[in-house]
Amino acid sequence: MQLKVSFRNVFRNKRRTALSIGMIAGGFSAMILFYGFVNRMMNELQWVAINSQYGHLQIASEQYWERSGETPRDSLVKKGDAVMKLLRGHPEVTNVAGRISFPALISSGEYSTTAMGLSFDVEAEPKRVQGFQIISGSSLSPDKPFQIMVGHLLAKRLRVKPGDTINILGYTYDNVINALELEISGLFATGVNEVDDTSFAVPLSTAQKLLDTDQVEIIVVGLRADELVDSTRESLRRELTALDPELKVQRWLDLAKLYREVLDYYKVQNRFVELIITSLVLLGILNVIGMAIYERTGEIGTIRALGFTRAQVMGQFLLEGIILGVFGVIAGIALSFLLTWIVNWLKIPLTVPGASTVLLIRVDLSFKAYQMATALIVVTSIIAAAIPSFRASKIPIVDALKHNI
Amino acid sequence: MPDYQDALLLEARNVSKRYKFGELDLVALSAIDLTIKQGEFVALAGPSGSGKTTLLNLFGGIDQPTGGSIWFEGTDIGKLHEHELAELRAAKLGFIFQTFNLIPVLNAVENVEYPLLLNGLNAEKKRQLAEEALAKVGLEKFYKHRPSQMSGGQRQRLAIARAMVKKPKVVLADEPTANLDRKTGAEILDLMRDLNERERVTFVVSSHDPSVLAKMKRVFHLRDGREDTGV
Ligand SMILES: Nc1ncnc2c1ncn2[C@@H]1O[C@H](COP(=O)(O)OP(=O)(O)OP(=O)(O)O)[C@@H](O)[C@H]1O
Ligand SMILES: [Mg+2]
Repeated sequence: MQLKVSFRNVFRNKRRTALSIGMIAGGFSAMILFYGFVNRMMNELQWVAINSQYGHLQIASEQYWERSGETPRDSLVKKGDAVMKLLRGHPEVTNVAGRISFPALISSGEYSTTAMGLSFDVEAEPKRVQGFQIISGSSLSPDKPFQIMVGHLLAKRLRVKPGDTINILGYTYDNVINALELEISGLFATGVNEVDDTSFAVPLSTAQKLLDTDQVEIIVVGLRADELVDSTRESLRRELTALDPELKVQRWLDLAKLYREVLDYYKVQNRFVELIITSLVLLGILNVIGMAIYERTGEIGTIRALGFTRAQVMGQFLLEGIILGVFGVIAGIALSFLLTWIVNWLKIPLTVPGASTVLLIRVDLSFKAYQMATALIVVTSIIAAAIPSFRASKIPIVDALKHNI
Repeated sequence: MPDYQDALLLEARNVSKRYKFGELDLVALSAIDLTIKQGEFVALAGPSGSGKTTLLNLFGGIDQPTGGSIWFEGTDIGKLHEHELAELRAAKLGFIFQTFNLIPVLNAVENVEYPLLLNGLNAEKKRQLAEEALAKVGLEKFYKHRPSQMSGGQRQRLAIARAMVKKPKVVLADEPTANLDRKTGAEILDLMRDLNERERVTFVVSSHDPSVLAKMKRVFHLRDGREDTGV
């Protein structure tokens, strides 16, 4: 009965109720869209971090991670072949590839400078190639081992362009000077100037030739799914420790500093946006519900004369707030679907830090976002009903009765 | 014959009610002594502003005196907690207002059922009691009507049914006929008198209308907040 009364009261003034529900739905879908946008950004950054930067897991010796090796050789994976074999046999692992980075002197003949060489298995990590945005020429390919990609700022300093040949000079792990002549396949831009100014990339096999080794520094592991990171890390850790107690497994999240920073940033910003939206919704419906309750002051006096307590009167209005909130949320869900569809259909371009390609603004809806927004909005509507009804329930009965109904 | 103590229902003992407006002291009621016995059909009469509504509200426990005390069935209701007063109203008091004060979103049966929410009855029993009460006030054909679809007289009958449904000890009616035409007002008053006689429910009715007062069994006269003994 109480519910019936509340229901009918909510829909007594259709225009006003539509207004409240509209405001609630607007706030709700704004929140959902914002969550969805952030979610999309983070998914995108995660994809970039995993697929073109870090893989799911990286395995290297403790000396490598801690930068504590006395010689460059100390940071290599000692039993690389056995480790690779173990990894390839693991059911969750889909991809295994080695990487080495090394300092070198890079020279165009006329100009030379020191730079950092990055190397990876072009065949095993094709997406890593995509991680470098090529601004001229083409990227490395598995069938052309004697090629090199150069950071575009570094290329500028060296006055080289794709197609030119270039020399790199480095020390092998036995401290012998070694050199290679390579053809520039293309110039890349990562968006980070320090990297573009000081780095070049070569196929892993080429780097190993220069350094005179068949070992690697890091083994990058790709998994069947992003969710398997923690569990696989645990099982690998046990098996690898048996093989070589110096090996340490890192997750992509431990390595992706930028991702973590962006995530922290959005965590703060989410709270801020929630605060603004709930305040707006609160102020909006406070007004509308407040008016509705004021108009019913006489009714409040009447039912209290019938024997309803102050708490029961408030309960009735809270119920109306909840009903309003629930209907607002239902309308908001519909509205959020519509707006999501529109935003995704508009295909607005956006550059994401750390990603080499231009992305489109999209909204990835998530159940968690709906849970959060529903909780916030329903609580807000209850508060919006509680404040004026608390005030109204405090009016002395005789005064409330003077308002005619 | 029940003994005196048993029969005593409502009592005002040296009751006064003042309102302060800064320096100004307005006396709405002063030195009122009034006892009402079980089953009485009594009027509070007096010109506008004489304190009828104020006294009725004090009897109903929805307003508090500034002096003296109000007793209901031997209890000083000024000593009751707010929730005890609410319980008392829910169980034993019925109110009838000049402006009917029905719940607009509820139809007739639902309006009558509404106060029974507080008495913990099941839905079936509530419905049965509500229909009985409506039948007693002659509204058996209007169960599903909303107040807005009813005439003034029908609305006041509905309000009477709502007051009667919990089988109260006393019904307090503040100018129940003031918003009705003479004929309808007379019918309403006859209905209340009829209920008073058949159900033995006490009625306290305020009015300044001589034709209403003529139908009362006892009239308590007020003038400027004091009992008007006519001397
Ligand atoms: N809340 C209030 N604040 C101040 N004065 C009040 C208040 N309520 C009533 N009064 C005053 O108390 C006096 C008695 O009022 P009351 O309403 O009891 O009169 P009444 O006999 O019911 O009059 P009417 O026939 O016009 O309804 C009046 O002078 C009125 O102005
Ligand atoms: Mg009055």
